[in-house]
Amino acid sequence: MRDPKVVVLLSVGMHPVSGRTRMAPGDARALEMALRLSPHPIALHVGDASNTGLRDYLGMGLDAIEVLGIWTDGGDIVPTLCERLAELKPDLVLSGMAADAGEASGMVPYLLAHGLGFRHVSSIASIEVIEPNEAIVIQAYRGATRRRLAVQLPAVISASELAPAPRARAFARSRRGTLQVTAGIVAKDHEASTWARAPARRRPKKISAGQTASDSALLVGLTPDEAAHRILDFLRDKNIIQESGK
Amino acid sequence: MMRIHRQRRAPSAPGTVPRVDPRKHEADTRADAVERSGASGLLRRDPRKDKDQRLRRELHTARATSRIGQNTHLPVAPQRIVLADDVSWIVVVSLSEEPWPDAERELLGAAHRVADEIGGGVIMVRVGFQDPATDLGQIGADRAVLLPLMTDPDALAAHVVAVTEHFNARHVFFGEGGADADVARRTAILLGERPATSLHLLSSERATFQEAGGRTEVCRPLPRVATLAPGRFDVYESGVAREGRRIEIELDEKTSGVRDLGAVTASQLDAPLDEARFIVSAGDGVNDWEAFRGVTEALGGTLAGSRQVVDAGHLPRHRQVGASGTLVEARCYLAFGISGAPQHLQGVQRCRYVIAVNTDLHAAMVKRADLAIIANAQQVMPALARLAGGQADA
Amino acid sequence: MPEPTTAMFGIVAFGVLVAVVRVAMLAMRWRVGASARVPVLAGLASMPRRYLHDVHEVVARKPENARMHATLAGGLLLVLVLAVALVFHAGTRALSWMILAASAVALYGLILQGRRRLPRRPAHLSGGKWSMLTPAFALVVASFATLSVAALAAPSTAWAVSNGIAFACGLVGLGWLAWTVTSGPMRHAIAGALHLAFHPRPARFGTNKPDGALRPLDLDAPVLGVETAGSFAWNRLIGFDACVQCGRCESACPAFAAGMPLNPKRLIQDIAGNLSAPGTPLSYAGSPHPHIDLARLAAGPIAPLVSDRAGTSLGIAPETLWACTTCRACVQECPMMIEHVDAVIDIRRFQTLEEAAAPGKAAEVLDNLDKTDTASGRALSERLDWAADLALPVATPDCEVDILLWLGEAAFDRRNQRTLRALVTLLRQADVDFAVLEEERDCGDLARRLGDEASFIRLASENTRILSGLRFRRIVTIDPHVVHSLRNEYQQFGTPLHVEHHTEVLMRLVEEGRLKPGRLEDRRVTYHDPCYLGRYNGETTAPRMLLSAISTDFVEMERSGMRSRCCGGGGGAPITDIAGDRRIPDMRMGDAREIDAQLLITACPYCTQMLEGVAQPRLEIIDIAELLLATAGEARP
Repeated sequence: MRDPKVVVLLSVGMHPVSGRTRMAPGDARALEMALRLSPHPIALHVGDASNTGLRDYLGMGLDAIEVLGIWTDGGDIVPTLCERLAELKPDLVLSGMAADAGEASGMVPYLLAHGLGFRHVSSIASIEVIEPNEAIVIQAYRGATRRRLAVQLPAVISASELAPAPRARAFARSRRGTLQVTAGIVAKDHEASTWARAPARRRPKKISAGQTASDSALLVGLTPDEAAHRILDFLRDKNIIQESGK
Repeated sequence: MMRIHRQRRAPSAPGTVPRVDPRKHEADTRADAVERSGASGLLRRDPRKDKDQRLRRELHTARATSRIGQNTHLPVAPQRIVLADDVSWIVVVSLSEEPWPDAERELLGAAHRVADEIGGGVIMVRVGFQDPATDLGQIGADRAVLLPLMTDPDALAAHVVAVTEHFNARHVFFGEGGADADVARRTAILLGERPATSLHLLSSERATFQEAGGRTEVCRPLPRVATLAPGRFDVYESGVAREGRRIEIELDEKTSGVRDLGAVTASQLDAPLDEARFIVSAGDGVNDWEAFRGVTEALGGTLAGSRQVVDAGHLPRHRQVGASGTLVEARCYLAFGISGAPQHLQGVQRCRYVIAVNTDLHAAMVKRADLAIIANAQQVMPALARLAGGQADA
Repeated sequence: MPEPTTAMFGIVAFGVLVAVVRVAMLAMRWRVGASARVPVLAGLASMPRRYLHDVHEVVARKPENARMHATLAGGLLLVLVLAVALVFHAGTRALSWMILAASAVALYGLILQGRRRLPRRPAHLSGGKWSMLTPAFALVVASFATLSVAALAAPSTAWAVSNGIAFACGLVGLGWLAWTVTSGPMRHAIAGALHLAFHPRPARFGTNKPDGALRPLDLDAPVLGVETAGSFAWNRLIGFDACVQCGRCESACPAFAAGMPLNPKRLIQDIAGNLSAPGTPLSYAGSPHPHIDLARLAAGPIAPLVSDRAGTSLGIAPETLWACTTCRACVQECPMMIEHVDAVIDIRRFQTLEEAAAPGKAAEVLDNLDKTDTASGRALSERLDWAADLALPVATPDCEVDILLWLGEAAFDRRNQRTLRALVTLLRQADVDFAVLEEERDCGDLARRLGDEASFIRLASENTRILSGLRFRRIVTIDPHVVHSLRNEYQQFGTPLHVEHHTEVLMRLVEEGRLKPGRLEDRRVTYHDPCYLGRYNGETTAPRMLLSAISTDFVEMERSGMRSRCCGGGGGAPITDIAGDRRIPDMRMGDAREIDAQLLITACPYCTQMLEGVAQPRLEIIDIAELLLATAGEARP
């Protein structure tokens, strides 16, 4: 398709170390994907337009971000996005895998696809071709073989963490880009407002049994062939290579 | 598009009802048990006899079970806990590629903690499972549903929903990662549930996860669908095996708007380091670069190297492992002639297995390795290439 | 045939005429540049002093070149002036003799000049028009010498013929020289003189204090940084045109020596060349940028300076721009006082702020600085983790301390933590009152060198605000980059800060007898001058005094002091990581090996890191604070 209508959904993140607002890394990958498809994708955000994290996306070379609704804390972005997407009738809706702040359940693309009746493919590393009715995409999971999928349009596509890293941000671009605010009502997320919240406590991760040192073996004085055999046995035992040797 | 069933505890959902043939069920259990004992060699008893005096032990906690078990004489070890069909069930779903090492066992461990509280059992849905010898009872499955390998997450979610509704399961747990997380969310949509994702703590009542980038901890009632964060739950290790009975469920073929065009076959040799599954890496101790490439190719690994090697121009910069290069998360890291500078070890911190071939017994890499071989990498590389390659030809 | 005197005057007049036209054309070249506020009259007035004092100081580092230039330029100028005088005092034989004498002086210079390129032109010198310079001067000198002899001799037909030939030679020679004022070797005479007058860093002249502080960028400007050759201010364009292509920068540049695609001489020519009309062939006949040398034709003053990756365009390769370590060795060596590093940073500013094109890990590091105020993305509170057992006092607004210890990025690096630990121990031994910041932010040096002026300004303003709320006498740090930033570049953000490097403090403590250095007798020691301590801050004595107090066998490397060779760690070079044939720290280690040193003493955390990154076997690398502590420990009973 020559000019697919691409919408990218952007949320604002929070830096894990400093707590400063930033672009959500997953959404930044989605934007990178969008910018490779179209020089001027439509970017949607439901939230507070004064959040400086939005400027990070503009720094990647986006002309403008549509900020929907008048934001108050505890809002539910899905109905607002659904409504706007239904108006826009895009061919492709791109999103990250999960937000960086807030509940970050990663449900938004699923709910949108469900609500709009779009197809949805997740963990996509790249979009290869866009044809009039379908997109050919590459799905990637860490440590697994990539798969090529054909997804009917319109579709929601979630960018994998293995998708190409977002382009660097330029200070001048982030300053020049515009935030276009459309007033409107953002629904309340009543369920989430009843949940108890407290500052997170540090809980050490459990050490899984496989990582204890007791399993390790130290072998001295082997011939090269013996050494090679031991390595191959280890690799097969741990299912790193199959019996065929590959 | 699937219809969404909003009933929370629907005894059977019309249209998607999985039919369970009781006769087939019995026969399968038997066949499974035979195979299991045969292949694993762990069980020495006759499974048919075992079935006759079926163990109907209650759970130790015995809080929620309405029926009293009939067993008066416990069998000799190994003991197995066998549950009745009408307890509360928790489904755990595990896809063919574990999202992280031990994901499956952690899921079962977490599920059992909740099951113990509600007096229920755990049904394991395993996808793409091929080896019938594995005893899923040992790792904590009371029931096991084995599904064929399928790459369409919508179809998979529909099947999980079918199992869930068939057993009227209270909860469905997934690992938060990989394709598992995708199927989890699709399952939630189909069940009309708002899932709790990436849980850190769990009880039958409450689910705890973190939001705001790990700054806030949120507690909510445990919903029907949940995904668990890696490394947060103890694996199932009670010392007592579960029944692990296999259940066959007939499933409808699902169609989806997504076509799988197959795996993208690219040489692993030059795969991006941060997603490589098996990395073969060279350090100062390697000087035969053809042999290094050869062995990496023969093993189907991905090329990498230490900073020194990259500085010397033997490999490009994006092949550098370490704090100043890439932090890798491979399942296996095979290090030839790498002594293991702190920055390098930092780079392999998240690898599951490390194999080191090094002449120095005291090298830091040797200490870190799961398999360390004190030998000259120069000699081991061609031998390994020959053996691995030769086998591929055979 | 004209009289010899008339002929001489004719040649001079012709030369001046051509030169005037060509200077006007040259001025037109510079008009494209951005405006700059320059004190024109004061500049012109200070030009002779700057020439005789500052330029001479640089040129005299190569005495034969100084002699060459003084005799050739001086002799020739004298010849021309005397020739004009001769017209008005026709028949004054003394003048003719004086012309002959001046010609002899010029001839001597000419011989010196010719010998530089014979039998073979050294690689650092340019060929092409620059090789024509000697023949052209020879023509002029010969012409005037012949004519002045003719003026002394009785007229004859033979003289008439020879006068005719000499006149022609003079016209051709001087005409050619005057012609090259716009785009050839003689441009340096005009541009060089004006560059001295309108120099962008007047503070460099007349003092011994180095002036390396970058000029701040107006973030409200419509375009940030330098995009095209014409984006440079006019007086800086004059500076580029002043280049004599002597190749001293090339010989001093660590990146060039390492085979990275940067030759500072070529870079200046790339910029100057773009002032010509688009498509004009660039007549450059010196060493290229190693490996990647793109520019063949001028792109014009309003075309992008940096080429796109395709390599089809005409500009500078991005690798050239990012190979620079900002060590200022080129600036230190340049006899024309050209500011290479300022040019590099200005172009980088455009690349980073407008294009986000900084390569390698720059984007990651700049993102870290933007989001966490540390280059490595660590939490500010982690900066004190290494010192958990040291119970470092934290500065508070209501308690004055003598020394505020600035830890820098070194606090996050295991190796550099050893240096910090040594310094803290020494300060405690000497009973010095010091404290650290509770939450120290990055000083912004790295961001600034990578062209991210916005982050630098943010960090500098924030740091200045925090510092102004505290009471301390001076700031002390082990990081020369922090010294430079806080001492020289923070001035515009508030009151000047009194900043000292730890070598300066330790030397004073030793002088005061509060620290007693031990002796190191059995090992040969050498010292590597950090660029940001030496060239940027002129501090080369304190570490040497300390070392000579400790070591009995202290030897200097060939390149040391203000002319030290960079370790490769400055200017964000390890982050942009441009490939070369060799690594710069390996070359520096070679310098130390050459003098059979066993210990390489550093005074900068980045130098330590870079030099320790050299593959074994290599010299042991120790920071001066660690050495002082180790030997003082031995001296104690």
